[in-house]
Amino acid sequence: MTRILHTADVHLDAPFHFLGEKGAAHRQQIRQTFGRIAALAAEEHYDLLLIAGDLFNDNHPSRDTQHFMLSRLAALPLPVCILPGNHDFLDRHSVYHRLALPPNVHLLAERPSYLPFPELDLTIAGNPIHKYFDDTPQLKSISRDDSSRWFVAVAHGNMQVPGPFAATSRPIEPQAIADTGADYVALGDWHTFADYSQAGVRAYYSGAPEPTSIAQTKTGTVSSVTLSENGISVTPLQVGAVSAGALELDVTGLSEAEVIAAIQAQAASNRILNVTLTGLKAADSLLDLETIYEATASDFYRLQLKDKATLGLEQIEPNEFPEAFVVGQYVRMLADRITEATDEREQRVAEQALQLGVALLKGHKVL
Amino acid sequence: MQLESIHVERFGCLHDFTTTFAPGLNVIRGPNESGKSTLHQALLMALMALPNQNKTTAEWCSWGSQQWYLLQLTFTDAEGNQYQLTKDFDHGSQELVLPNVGTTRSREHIEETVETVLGTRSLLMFQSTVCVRQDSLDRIADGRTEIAQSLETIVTGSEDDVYTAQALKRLDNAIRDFRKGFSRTAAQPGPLGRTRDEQIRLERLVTNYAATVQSQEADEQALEEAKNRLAEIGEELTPLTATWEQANRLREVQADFKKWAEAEQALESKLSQVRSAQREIDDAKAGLQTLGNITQLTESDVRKANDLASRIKALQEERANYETALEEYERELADHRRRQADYELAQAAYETQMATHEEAQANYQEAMEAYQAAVGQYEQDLAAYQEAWRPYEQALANQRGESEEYQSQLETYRQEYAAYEVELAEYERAKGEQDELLAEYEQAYEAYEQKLTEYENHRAEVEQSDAGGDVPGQRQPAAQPAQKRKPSGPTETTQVSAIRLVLIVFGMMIAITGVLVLALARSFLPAVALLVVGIAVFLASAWPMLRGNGNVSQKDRSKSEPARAKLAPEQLQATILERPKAPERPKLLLLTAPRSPVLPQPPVSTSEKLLAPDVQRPSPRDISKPVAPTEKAPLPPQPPPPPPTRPNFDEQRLAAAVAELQERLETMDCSTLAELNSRFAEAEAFRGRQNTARSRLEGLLGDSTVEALEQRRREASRQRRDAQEILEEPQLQQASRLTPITYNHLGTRITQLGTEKTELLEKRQRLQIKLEQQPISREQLLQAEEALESARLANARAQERIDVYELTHELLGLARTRTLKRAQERLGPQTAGYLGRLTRGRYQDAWIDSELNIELQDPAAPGQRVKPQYLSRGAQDQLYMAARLALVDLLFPQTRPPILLDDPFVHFDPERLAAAVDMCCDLAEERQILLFTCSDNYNHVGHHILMPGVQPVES
Repeated sequence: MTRILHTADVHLDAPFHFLGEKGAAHRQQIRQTFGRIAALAAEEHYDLLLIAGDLFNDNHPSRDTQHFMLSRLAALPLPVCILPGNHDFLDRHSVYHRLALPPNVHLLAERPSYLPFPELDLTIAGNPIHKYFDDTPQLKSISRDDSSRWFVAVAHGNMQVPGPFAATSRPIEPQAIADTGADYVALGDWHTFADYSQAGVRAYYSGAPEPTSIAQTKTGTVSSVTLSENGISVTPLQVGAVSAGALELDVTGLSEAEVIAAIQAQAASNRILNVTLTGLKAADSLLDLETIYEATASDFYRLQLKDKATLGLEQIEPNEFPEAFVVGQYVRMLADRITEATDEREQRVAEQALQLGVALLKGHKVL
Repeated sequence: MQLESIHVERFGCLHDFTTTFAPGLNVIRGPNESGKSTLHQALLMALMALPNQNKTTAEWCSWGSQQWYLLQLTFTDAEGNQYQLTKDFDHGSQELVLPNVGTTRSREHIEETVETVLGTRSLLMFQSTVCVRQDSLDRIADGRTEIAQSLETIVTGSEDDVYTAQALKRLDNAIRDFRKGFSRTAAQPGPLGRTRDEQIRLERLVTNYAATVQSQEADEQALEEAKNRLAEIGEELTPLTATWEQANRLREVQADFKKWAEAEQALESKLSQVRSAQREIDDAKAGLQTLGNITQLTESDVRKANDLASRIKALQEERANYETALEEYERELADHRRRQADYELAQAAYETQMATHEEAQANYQEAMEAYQAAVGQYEQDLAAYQEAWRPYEQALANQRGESEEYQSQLETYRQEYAAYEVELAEYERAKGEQDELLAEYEQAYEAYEQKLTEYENHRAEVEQSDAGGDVPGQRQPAAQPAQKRKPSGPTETTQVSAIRLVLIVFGMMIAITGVLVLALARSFLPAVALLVVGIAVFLASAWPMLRGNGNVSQKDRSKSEPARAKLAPEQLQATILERPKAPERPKLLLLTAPRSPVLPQPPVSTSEKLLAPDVQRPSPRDISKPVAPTEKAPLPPQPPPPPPTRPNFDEQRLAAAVAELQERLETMDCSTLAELNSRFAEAEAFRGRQNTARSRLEGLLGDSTVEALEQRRREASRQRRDAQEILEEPQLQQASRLTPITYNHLGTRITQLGTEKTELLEKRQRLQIKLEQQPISREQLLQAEEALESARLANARAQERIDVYELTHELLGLARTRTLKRAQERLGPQTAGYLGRLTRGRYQDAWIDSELNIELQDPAAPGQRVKPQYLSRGAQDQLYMAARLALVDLLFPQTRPPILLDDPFVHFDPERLAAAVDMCCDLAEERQILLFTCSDNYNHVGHHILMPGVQPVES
C-alpha cells in the first residue's frame, strides 16, 4: 500500500488585492497552511507528497518564502515530487533553478518526465509547464510505465469539460486521462476538490489549501490517495483555515439596520464573505454601503459589498410624487436618467441621486 | 367639489361618528382631544388612503377594538352628482357608489374618480395645499418662516416642511465638504481629496517599490548567471592551465639553454679580444725603444721650439711692413708742407674782407636807431589825434541812432496819415450825404413855413371874417414874427468866400512847405512852425465853411416864418381844415471827423551841427626804414691737417729670436725644426697605440681578470649542457609539439577566461552585498499593491458618491427652477385677486418673482412696492391666505376642493380675527370651508358641527 498526499495551487507569495491590508496576513496564512500540509504528511506517515503545480505564485518568491519551503520539505522523512505549474513555470529564469532542492525533493523538469521511486515501487510522470500560456495537452506522451507497480500521472491544467472554470489553455482531455492507464492522475490548477475520473482511471483536483480570490468558496482541501491492491481511494482532507462565501441579500423593504443585521448573521473571523445586495430599494431610503461596511467588516476575515439592488422605477407610485411639485419633477427627471443610463455605474449613480434627492426633500437626515 | 357627510367607525377616538357638511363655511368645534384632528385625518384617509393594514394605518385603530376601522364619505362634484366612497380597513376593501353607474371596487376606477372630482389622487398634494394648519400662519407671523419659503415648501412637495432651497444648501455644504482639499490643498481634506491623495501616494510607492524589486530580481538573476558562468569557467580553465604551464616550462628551459649558449659564446669572444690587446701593447713598447732621447721630450718642449720659430717669422714680416710705411711717410710729409703755405694766403684775404663787412654793419645799426625814433614819435601823434576825435565820433554815432528811430516813427506816421486820409474821405462823403438831406429838409421846412403862414393868415382871415371884417391893424403884430429875415445880399457873401478860399490855399501851402522842409532838409523846428502856421490858417479860414452856410444859421432860419399870401375866401374855405404838417426832420448821424496823426518830432541832436576837432592827423610818409647790408660776413679758411708721424722698427729683437731657436735645436739633437717635429710625432703614435690597447683591455676585463673570464666561460658551458638534458625530457617533448599559434591561442583563451573570472567574482561579490541589503522586499511591494487596490476602491466610491451629490444638486436645482417658474407665472394674478377681496380693495396688485418672493402695491404710496415683512401682521396673514388660495387654484385649476383650516386664527387678536372671519365668510360663498377650532369665536358664523360631548352654544 502506498499513500500519497496530493496538493496543488498553494500560491505561495501571491498578492491578494481583494484583501487590501489583510493581504500580508493571508500570505502568512498560506505559508502556515503549507507547513501544516507538510506536517500532516509526516505525522500521518504518507509515503509521498505530490504537488501538482503552482507551489509558488510566480517565479520571484521572496527569499524568506524560498527558505521556508525548502526547510519544511527538507525536514520531511518522505520524498516530495513537484510539478511546475503555469504560475511557477519552468523557463530559464524559473525559481526552481535558483533553489537548492534537498535530496528528497524531486522536480519533474523534462517533458515528459518519468520519476521512479523504487522504494515505493512507484513511477510518477508528468509534463512541466514551460510558459504561462501553454496550449499543449498536459498529459501528452504520458502513459503507463510498467517498470513499477504503481503509476501516477500528474498534470496542471484545465479539464476540457463544460463548467464554470472551462478554459482552452493548458488543456486536459478526458480521454487523455483514460489513455494514461495510470493508477491515479493528480490534477492541479482548479482550486476546488473535484473528481474527473475517466474510464476507470481515477483523476482528482485536490483543490487549493486556501482561497486566493473572493470567488473561491470551496477551497481548503488536499487529497489523500491510497494505492493498494484492494483499490484506489481518494479522500479530501480539510486543511484550510480561511473560508470564502457569498451572500445574496434581497434588500427589498429592508432598512439599513436590517441589512446590517442580516450580514452580521454570517459573521466569522476566518470568513471571506462576498455580499451582493439585490432586490428593490425604496425611492426615499438610502442604503449607504459605507455605513453598512463599517458596521460589519470587522466581524469578517474580509467583507466585500456590492450593491446590485435596483430602484425599481415601476414600483414608484406617481401619485406619491405629483408632477406639480419639485419632488415630482425631480423624480421624473431622474427616472429618465436611469432609463437612459448607458452603463451600470451611470444607472447606479442616477438611482442613488433619486434616492438622495427624495430623502432630502422629505427631510430625512441623509447628509 | 363639496363634502356632504362622513361616517366613521372605530377610527381613533371616533368610535361611531357621523356628521353632515353644509356648503360654505363649516365650523367643526370641540375642545382639544375631542376628535377634531381625528376627523380631519379621517376625511383625508377616506379620500386618498388605500384600505391596507400596515404600520401607518394601524396608528388610527380605536384603542381596544379588535376590528380595523371603516370610513364612509359622501361628496358631490361640481355638477352636483353625489358619490359615496366607503373604505373598510378591516376587510381591506373599498367601494365607490357612482351616480347613474353603480358601485365599483376597482382601485384604479376609484382613484380616477377621486382625481376627477377632487383634482388629485395624491394625499401629499391634497394635504399640503388645501389643508392650512394653525402653525403655518404662526410661523409667518412670528417671522420664523417667510411667505416665499412657505410657498416653496408647498411646491417642493415635502412632508416635513423642507423646501428645495434648503435641500440644495445642504447638498452644497456636503459637496464642499466632500471636495475639500481636492482642487486646493487643505489641512483636513474631504473624502474625495483624501482618497485621491492616498491613491496617488500609493501609486508612487508601488512604482518605486516595483522598480526596486524588479532591479533586485534582475540582480538575483544576474547573480545566478554569474555563479553558473564561474562554474563553467572553472571547468574549462583547469586543463587549459595545465597545458599552459607545461608549455611555459618548456619555454623557460629553452630560454635558459639559449641564454647559457649565448653567454658561453660571448665569453669566448671576449677572451680572444683580450689576447689581441695584450699583443698591441707589446708592439708599441718595442717601437718607442727605437726612437732614443726623443721619447724624453715632452710636448711642451716641442711646442716652445715651434712657438719661437713662429715669432721669428712674425718679426721678419714686421720689418718688411716698416720699410713700406717709411716710403709712405715721406710722400705725406711733402703734401703737408704744400697745404700749409696755401692756408696762410687764405687767412690774409679773409681778414681784409672781414674789416669791410664790419664797417657796413655799423652804418646800418645807426640808421635803424633813427628810424625807430621816428616811428615812436608818429605813434604818439596818432594817439593824440585819436583821443581828440573820440568825443566827436561818439556824438556822431548817437545822432545817427536817434535819426534812425525818428525815421521809424515817421514811417509809422505816414502809414497812419494814409489811413487818416481814407477815413477823412469816408467822413466827407457821409457828411455830404447828410448835408444833402439837411438841405432837402430845409427846403421842405421852408415850404412848410410858407404853407403854415398861409394857413394862419387864411385862418386869421377867416376868423376875422367871422368876427366881422378885416382889421389889418390888429393883425399886423401877429404877422410880424412870421416874416422871414432877409439874408445878406449876394455880393457880400461872394467876397468873403473868395478871401477865405485864398486863406485856405495859403494855409495849405504853408503846411505843405513845412512838410517838405521836414522831409528834405530834416530841419525839425522850422518845419513844425511852418506846419502849425499852415494848419492854423487853413482851419481859421475853412471852419465856417465846414460848419455849413456861413451866412445864416439853422437856428435863425428855423425862427423865420414863411411869408403868407392872401387867399381867396373860397380857397380859405377849402383849406381851412388842412393845416400843413411840419416835415419830419431827417435823422442825422453824429459824424466824427477823423483825427490826423501827430507828426513825429525829429530828435534834437540831429539838428545840432557837430564840429570836428581841429587836429591834423599825423602822416607816416616821412618815415623810411633803412635797408640792411646784403653782403654776408666772410668765412675764415680751414687750417691744414697736422704733419705725418715717422714709423719705427727694432732689429735686435729679430736677431735674438733666431739665436735662441738655433740653440734649442742643437740641444734636441735635431738640425731643423721639421726633423724635430717628425720624430716627435712618431713617438707620439707609438704611445697612442699602446694607450688604446691598454684602454681596450681594461674595458674588456673591468674588475675581472683573464682567469676569471675563463672560469665564467666554463660555467656557462656547463649550464648549457644541463638545459639540453632537460629539453630532452618526454613531457617537455610533448609540450614542444604545440605550435606557436596554438600556444598563443591557449594563452589568449586563458587570459580571457581569467579576466572574465575576475570580473565575475567582483560582480558576484557586488551583487551579494547588494542583495543582502535589500531595501525593499517583495512582500513590501505586495502589501503596497494591496493597499493601493483598497485606495483605488475607496477613491472610486468617493468619486461615485460625489457624482451622486452633484447629479442630485443639478437636477434638484433644475426641478426647482421649473416648478417655481410655473408657479411664478400664475400665482401673481391669482394672489392679487384674492388679496383684493380679502382686504376689501386695500391691496390690489401683487408681484411674484422667480423665488416666489411677493411684493404688494403700497396703498399709501401709489407706484411704490412694499415687501410682506413691512406689512402689519394681519396683512401678512391675509397675504399668506391669498397666496395659499391662489396656490390651490394653481394646483387644482378645474375643481374647487374644500379648504380644511385647522384653527389657523387661534392666536389672532379680536380685530384681526374679525377680519379673518369675514374673509372666511367671503370665501365660503365660492367654496366649501371646513374650519376646525376649539374656540367660540366663530359661533355666529357658518354651519356648526359639534364634536362628541360638546354642547351647542345658545345664540
